Amino acid sequence: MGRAADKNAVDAMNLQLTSLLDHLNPDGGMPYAPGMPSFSEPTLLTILAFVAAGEAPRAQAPVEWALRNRNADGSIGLNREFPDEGKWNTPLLAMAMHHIGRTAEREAALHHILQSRSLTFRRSAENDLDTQLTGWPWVAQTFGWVEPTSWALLALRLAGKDNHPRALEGRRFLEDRCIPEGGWNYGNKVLFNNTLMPFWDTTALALLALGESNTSLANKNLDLLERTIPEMRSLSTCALVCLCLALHGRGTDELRRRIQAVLAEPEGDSLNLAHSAMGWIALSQRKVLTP
Amino acid sequence: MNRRQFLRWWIGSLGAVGLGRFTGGCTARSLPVTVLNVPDLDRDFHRDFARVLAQDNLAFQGKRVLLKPNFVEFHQSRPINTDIRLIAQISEACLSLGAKEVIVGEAAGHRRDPWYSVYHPSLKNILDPKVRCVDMNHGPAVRVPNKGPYTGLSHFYVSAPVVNADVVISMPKMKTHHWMGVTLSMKNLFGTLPGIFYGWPKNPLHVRGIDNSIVDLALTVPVHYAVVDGVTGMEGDGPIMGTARHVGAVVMGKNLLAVDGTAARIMGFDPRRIPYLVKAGSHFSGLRERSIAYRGEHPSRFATKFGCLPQFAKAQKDSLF
Repeated sequence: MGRAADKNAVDAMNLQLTSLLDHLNPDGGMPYAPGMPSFSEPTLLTILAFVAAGEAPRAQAPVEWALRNRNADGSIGLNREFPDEGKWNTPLLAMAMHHIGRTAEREAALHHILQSRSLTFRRSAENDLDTQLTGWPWVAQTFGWVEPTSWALLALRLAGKDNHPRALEGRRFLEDRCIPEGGWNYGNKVLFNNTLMPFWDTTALALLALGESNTSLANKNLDLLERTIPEMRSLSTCALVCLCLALHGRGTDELRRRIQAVLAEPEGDSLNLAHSAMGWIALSQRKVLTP
Repeated sequence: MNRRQFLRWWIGSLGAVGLGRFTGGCTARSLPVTVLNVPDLDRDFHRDFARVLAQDNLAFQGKRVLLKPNFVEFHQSRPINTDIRLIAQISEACLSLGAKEVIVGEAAGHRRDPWYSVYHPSLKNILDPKVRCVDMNHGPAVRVPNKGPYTGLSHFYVSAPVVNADVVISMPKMKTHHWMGVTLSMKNLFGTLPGIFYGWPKNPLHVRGIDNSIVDLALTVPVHYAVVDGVTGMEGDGPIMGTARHVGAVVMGKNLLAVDGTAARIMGFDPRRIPYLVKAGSHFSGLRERSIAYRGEHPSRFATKFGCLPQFAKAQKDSLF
């Protein structure tokens, strides 16, 4: 593709990305779906989508929403109505603040992330987890799981805190949660001697979070993801797997085609604007989740 | 059950209800539970389901109905989830009874991606276009005071579509559960709580005791009816890793404990040996078999001893009816 065609493709994409802003609520935040109140996750991913497109200034309203909805302790909850619930959104806040140059807000969010710890517990006979490893929970005072641990690691890595002891232990946590045959699910690998099924979105997220820290584990799971691309249909799964494969230098053409096709479909009942934003991030080919 | 048998049973059971009223409702078997013979779901049973719903005096005219199936996880070849054909037929039944709106809502417990639950194209393709699917994991919730005594939680965040519905129908799959013994209409209520509040899985409910959470939720979440998909259930290491077991029955009723107890008995489990059902029995009637008035087929016809993990074998008995 020539340079002019490249520019046209980028312009067309940015035009479509702009349509995401049509869904902003009057308070400047983004709902998961039209008609809902604003929530942190779609709002913060929208900011990251515009950063990825090189259009950060156009996300001013979502940025202001995020700044207004931050908690005093540096975290962010689901929204103003539920500030103490859903603090698993805080890594997304740290990442958004990182990219827009709000260092103080980023550091406050990272401080909160480092204070948040999952519960450890006695090893049980039913599963084969290393239950003494600390990761990150969805909800305070509960156990650690793959997705919140991955987001916390991504935020720390983006801020250059890759070697913080919590990051090192978090990576060991993720390595431990990998299913023996490959892939990750929500965070259990074997229960009652049955190996559980991997999910492709959490597999991609865990691999993004682990980065290049464990090449053999990454390669085994990247191969698995590549083999299963034909099964992948949903926007969020395709977007996360696309980002993961791109990070590791693997081909993403097929996934990019699928993401473009889904984003071009008429918006129906199943619209999830957090997933749309993730789709745009994947299409941008710029790194915003990783350094 | 063919149509003639159904009508005969229906007229008969109307008489039984009338007799119950005449005797002041003092009959021992006062909690109706209907068991329908549904050998497979390729045939359309929606009129039969509508008759049962009508007979159970569930008002649908002009109402907003929420069907809550179980889509905890997804695997193409495992019977993990409520059969989408049953969801389609129950939604048809609700619409035929005058429902203003029917929503299929789920907050799946393990998979965050709703494409693998309520947004799966196979579900959308089979439903009447008037029926809407809602991913209850990603959306608003209402803070509802906890009416139960067990978890110590002051409140639950219940998905707004559940709270806003006039009629909520819990539609679980008939399955064994490796922690709880069985998972049926009451355990299915975990999926009324959004993941954005509780995570994937809903670990705050686990750390407070799954049995405690089931009963507190059953006391708190407004559920009006249960329809258990026992056409093909899951035995062994349920609710995810078990294997298919054909039963050919759909169990329906207003009293969730009576419905779950009946389904458990069909699976070969004595509800009085399933701790969370016993705990629920302190708050709801329906635990004792003699409190239930069976309609339709007698459940003993479908008795199918489900394979289970060894720790639950002692909860099983050969004769439960």
